[in-house]
Amino acid sequence: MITQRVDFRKNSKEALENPKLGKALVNFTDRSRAARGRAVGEVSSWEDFRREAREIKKDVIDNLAGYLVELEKSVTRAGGRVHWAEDSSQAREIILGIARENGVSRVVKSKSMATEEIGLNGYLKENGIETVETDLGEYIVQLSDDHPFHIITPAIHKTKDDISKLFSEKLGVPEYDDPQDLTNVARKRLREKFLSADMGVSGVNFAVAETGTIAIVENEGNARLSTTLPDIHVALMGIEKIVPKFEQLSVFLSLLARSATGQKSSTYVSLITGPRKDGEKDGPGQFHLVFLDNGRSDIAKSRETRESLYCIRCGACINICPVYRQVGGHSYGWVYSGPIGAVITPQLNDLEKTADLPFASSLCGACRDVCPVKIDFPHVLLSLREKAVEKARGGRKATKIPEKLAFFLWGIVFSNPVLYRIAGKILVRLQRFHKKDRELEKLPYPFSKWTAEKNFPAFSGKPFRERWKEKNLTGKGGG
Amino acid sequence: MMDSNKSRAQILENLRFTSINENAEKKARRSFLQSEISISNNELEKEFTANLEIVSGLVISLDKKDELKEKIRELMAEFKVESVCFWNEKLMKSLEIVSSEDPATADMGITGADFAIADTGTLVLLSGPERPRLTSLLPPVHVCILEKESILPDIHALFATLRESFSGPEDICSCVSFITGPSRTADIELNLTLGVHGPEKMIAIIV
Repeated sequence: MITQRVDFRKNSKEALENPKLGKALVNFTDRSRAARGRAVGEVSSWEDFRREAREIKKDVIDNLAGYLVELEKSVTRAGGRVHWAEDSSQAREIILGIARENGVSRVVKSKSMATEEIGLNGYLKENGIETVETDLGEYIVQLSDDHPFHIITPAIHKTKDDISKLFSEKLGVPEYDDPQDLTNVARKRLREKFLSADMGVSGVNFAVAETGTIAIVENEGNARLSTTLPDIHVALMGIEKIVPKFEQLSVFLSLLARSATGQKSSTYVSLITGPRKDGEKDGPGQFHLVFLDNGRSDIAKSRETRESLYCIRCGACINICPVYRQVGGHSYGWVYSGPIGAVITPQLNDLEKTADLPFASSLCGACRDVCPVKIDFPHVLLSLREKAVEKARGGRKATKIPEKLAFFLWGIVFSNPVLYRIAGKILVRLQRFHKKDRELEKLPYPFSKWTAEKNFPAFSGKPFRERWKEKNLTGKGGG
Repeated sequence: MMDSNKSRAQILENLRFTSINENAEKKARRSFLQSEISISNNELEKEFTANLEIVSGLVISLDKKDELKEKIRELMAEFKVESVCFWNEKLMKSLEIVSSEDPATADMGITGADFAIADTGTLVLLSGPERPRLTSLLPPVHVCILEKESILPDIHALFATLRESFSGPEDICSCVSFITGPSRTADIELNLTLGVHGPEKMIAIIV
């Protein structure tokens, strides 16, 4: 839960002033985009997949109560236990309760944004339970007392040297230069933790209402270890993660791997249904599934923004976003960053404290174009902007008088060709006071904010309309 | 102490505007997802091999089952394997090697695969009493023996086949594992490294 106001301006300014970070971001976003592009290009029916996935998600959210009850029944039938948490604190208590009941002293965790959302690690630690992140990126983040920078690649803001120094300092190993050596250090350390853990906590990528199966997608194998070695497996899921039918997983698994990392398939997908069955030699003896609402049912209520819940957390919108590429993940102030962060964070938290986020977008729509479930980000962001402004103005819908007047005049001028032409001529005359090398600088109030950080291109003396006319008359253009 | 029943009621109350969809069955249609084109086993094998090799998996194709014993011995020598754990099934027993009880200390794990997916290079393993999940996970080398006939064209065909192989939702096995190559990560400056948690070497033997 966010307690302090997210100051996106200040955060992004700090990020922009860090050249090392800028380089990492460009490298990372370039490579992820290219990988995704290749993987998506191989699938001729990609658009059909997206349509199908969106339809399925729409059905899930429109009928969420029914599907939750069905999932609960299926999990129970398979021998698992379902817990319902209205908010973060209930979810934390439920998980601590399971740990206490079973005398757990060490928990291994695989990557889960939902557990980040409820602040599980800190809470278990306060209560005397050691909690170890086992995804390599998350492990690096945990060792350095940091927060994930990206939902798929959490430690992408750390350089190899940072990690080498960190391991040396915290784990007492030599400073290795080769990433493979660093990986081997983590393997050895974490293997010990896995073999001695009493409880594994995981997230959920998809949960099948019909069968009670949860799907977990990963590349490292740490989720398989976390859900196989300890005798207790606790999975935390946002209530929107449901897929109605077992075979519908095929659509979502195809979309997720290609959108997230540009892989045809992630290295490991585990479909887990309940605890181990009679006669099995491994797998957990207890399986708990925690349903986390934490504001999601409120999102489901809003017709305008309901589709935010279709998200499958692939991160494609983050990698494509021109804003994220500049300002990075921490600027968004919470677990989710990029376009999906701008959409989800204000809806799962106090809107007043997160009012900056819906504005942290140029509304270019690249996110909508890559989204595997076709979330209309610009539409949702605009709707959230409206809500944020309304809230800031104490619930009054009315805009300020000068703003109203300005848009009133703008409306008149833009709907009348003669006035439009005259206004253009006046602006061209006026601009010479601020014109320098075909650019405008230091515009007066109320336009001063536009030119505070950069110059504006100057208006041309000859508008496009006239040039177009000339070209067509002389027969040279038009083609 | 909170009351889980109260929370359940509250969440469902919040979602009261939603309902159980009566048309769910109809909505679950998947016309375009059927894999209709029939491809020969040889072509599927070629595609599977190519895709698994892209992600650093090794693929060995054997003409006869009798060659298996020899091949496994070769691999054991190549990777300096001292102890092996495997699934307690007929095929593995025919290898005439001693199984270590503990996959945590074994150098190699040998499993079968129930299915494979050609267009992603994926092996699919179903859990069961004699088929521990850890055999394919803890040892640094995983060898997976696959019958050529069990390679399916794509993930949609796989899910259709899985659906048929379970008599109903209550019959589904506790864990279905999809494995596509060795364990990997790109968490350090996007550098690809292998074997971060699971096996560093993943070898599929097609018989």
